[in-house]
Amino acid sequence: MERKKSGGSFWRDTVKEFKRNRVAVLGTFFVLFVVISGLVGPFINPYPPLEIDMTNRLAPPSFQHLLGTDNFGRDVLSRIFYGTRLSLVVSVLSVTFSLAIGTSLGAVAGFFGSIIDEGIMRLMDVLFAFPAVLLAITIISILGQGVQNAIIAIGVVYTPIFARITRGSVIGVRGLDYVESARALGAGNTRIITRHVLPNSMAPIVVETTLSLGFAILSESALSFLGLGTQPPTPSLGRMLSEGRMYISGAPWLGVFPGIAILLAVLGFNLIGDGLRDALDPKLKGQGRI
Amino acid sequence: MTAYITRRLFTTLLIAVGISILVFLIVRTLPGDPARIMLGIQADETRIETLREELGLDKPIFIQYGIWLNNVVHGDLGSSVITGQSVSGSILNRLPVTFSLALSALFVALLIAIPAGTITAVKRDSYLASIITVLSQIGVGIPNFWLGIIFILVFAQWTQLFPSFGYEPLSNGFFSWARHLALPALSVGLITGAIITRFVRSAMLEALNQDFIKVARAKGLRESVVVFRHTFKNAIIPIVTVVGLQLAYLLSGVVVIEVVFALPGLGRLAFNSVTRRDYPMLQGAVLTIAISFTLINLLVDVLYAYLDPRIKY
Repeated sequence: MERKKSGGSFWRDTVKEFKRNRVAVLGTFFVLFVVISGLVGPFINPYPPLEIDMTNRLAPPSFQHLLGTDNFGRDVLSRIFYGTRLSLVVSVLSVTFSLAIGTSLGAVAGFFGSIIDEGIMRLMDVLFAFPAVLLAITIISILGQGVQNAIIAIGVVYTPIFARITRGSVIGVRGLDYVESARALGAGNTRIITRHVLPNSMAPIVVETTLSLGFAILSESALSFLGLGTQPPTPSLGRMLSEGRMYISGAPWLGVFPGIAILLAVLGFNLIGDGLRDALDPKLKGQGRI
Repeated sequence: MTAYITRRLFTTLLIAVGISILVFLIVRTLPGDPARIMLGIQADETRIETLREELGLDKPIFIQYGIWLNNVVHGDLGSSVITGQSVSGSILNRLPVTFSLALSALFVALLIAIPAGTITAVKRDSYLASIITVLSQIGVGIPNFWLGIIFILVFAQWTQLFPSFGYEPLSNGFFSWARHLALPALSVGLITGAIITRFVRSAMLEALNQDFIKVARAKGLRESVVVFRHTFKNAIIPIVTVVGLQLAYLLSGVVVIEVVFALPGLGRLAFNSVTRRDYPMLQGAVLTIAISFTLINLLVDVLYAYLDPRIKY
């Protein structure tokens, strides 16, 4: 009830608490850096990412090619910019997929309880019983390879997490007085769930969304590394690592830089997620910091 | 506790049935004739016709599932479309590799995580704790296959200390087995170690905040006794759970690492089956991995209930 009353100031306090956390702010910088590279990078880099230049194969980092070139003479920095953009798009779309489906299923399960709850949550348990990469490659084996299917596969992998978290929070708030009051005022189930229950269950969902954005980037890079995600010649960070691995002893930059890009993105989202968790949960204050 | 275990067994059984239905549906959701998919494009018509009858493809789908499940329960997972070998035989051959990688990676992880997590909790404000916390944050964000590639570059190609791929069974000698596993186990173990470190830290912090620790300190006990005998003993329960879950992940085949280091484990078997469209093999591998993952989770829960008699179920 208190949260609802002071809705605005609750999130303002959270932002204030978050800003005080130096590590979380650092994470925000990492994410901003990665997002800006993905958005702006493709427009400022001097080389098209697919341009082949066989006279300049495996050139080490220099002023012409800041991060060197690959086995086709393609500029590594340009490809990292494009790959980062692709990773971010896949990550945002797949997490949106799991957020939309997982949150809806979890809210319905938690709100209605009984057999609906049992049915939905047992299905989620079954999906949860598959390790992430294995579930994703199984889904891709059915749907076929490619970026769209990778988005669906990663989306399905993270759906049960959102369903569980939402269900837990919804069960926590559904019996509270303000929900009963809304019902007494004649609000229907859909209105109660979307206007009263979900907004008050948001905190853990926000944290999980941030963390999942990082893990989705990891999953996408793993799938592309295995050749099941992005198809050549489209640059993707995972694919760059798998192609660069053959030439790595003579051209280590092919193996190092795409990995650093993945690390920065994942680390950034993780730090923000941890910071949000601390800021949203007063019990944890001071524990998650350095 | 018996009631809790019975309930937990029942849900596990339910999940296992769910898993089997999903795995059964892998082949059935693909466009085309399941018998042809199971036998490959080059199979002759009479064999396809026989398999069609065996699978009961003219019968309703739930009867087809019953026939399939009956075969699976009797250990008949079909045979590979590519090699013709029995799927269950291939899976059994791969198990020692996946077990070796999982256990050696967990060994590396615990070797790092227990001391690192304890230090960050006990000496919270020290520089060492800050460094460990930063490293464990980085560790959680590193793709394990990238770490694998870097290790291959440094330890296999530049310094040639370890082989960069392949597996030697333990029967060929411990030294050769360990040398081949060193780099993959380190790649996975360091990252798993980073994850476990964070849990050890929070479990230790929680235990350190309890009243009985204040009492132990007030009694004048040495810090080492307070930390090891009193705190660690109480922090071990949540740690066991996390270690169990991590082991379940490791045993279920670290797909990408097995591919990077060309280890013939279960994860790589599943991956190869996808790329070769070897669906019977894929079904077998996925079923084995998911069921063992579920069973390990069950064991961890039961162990948890056994370790912490305070918990009422």
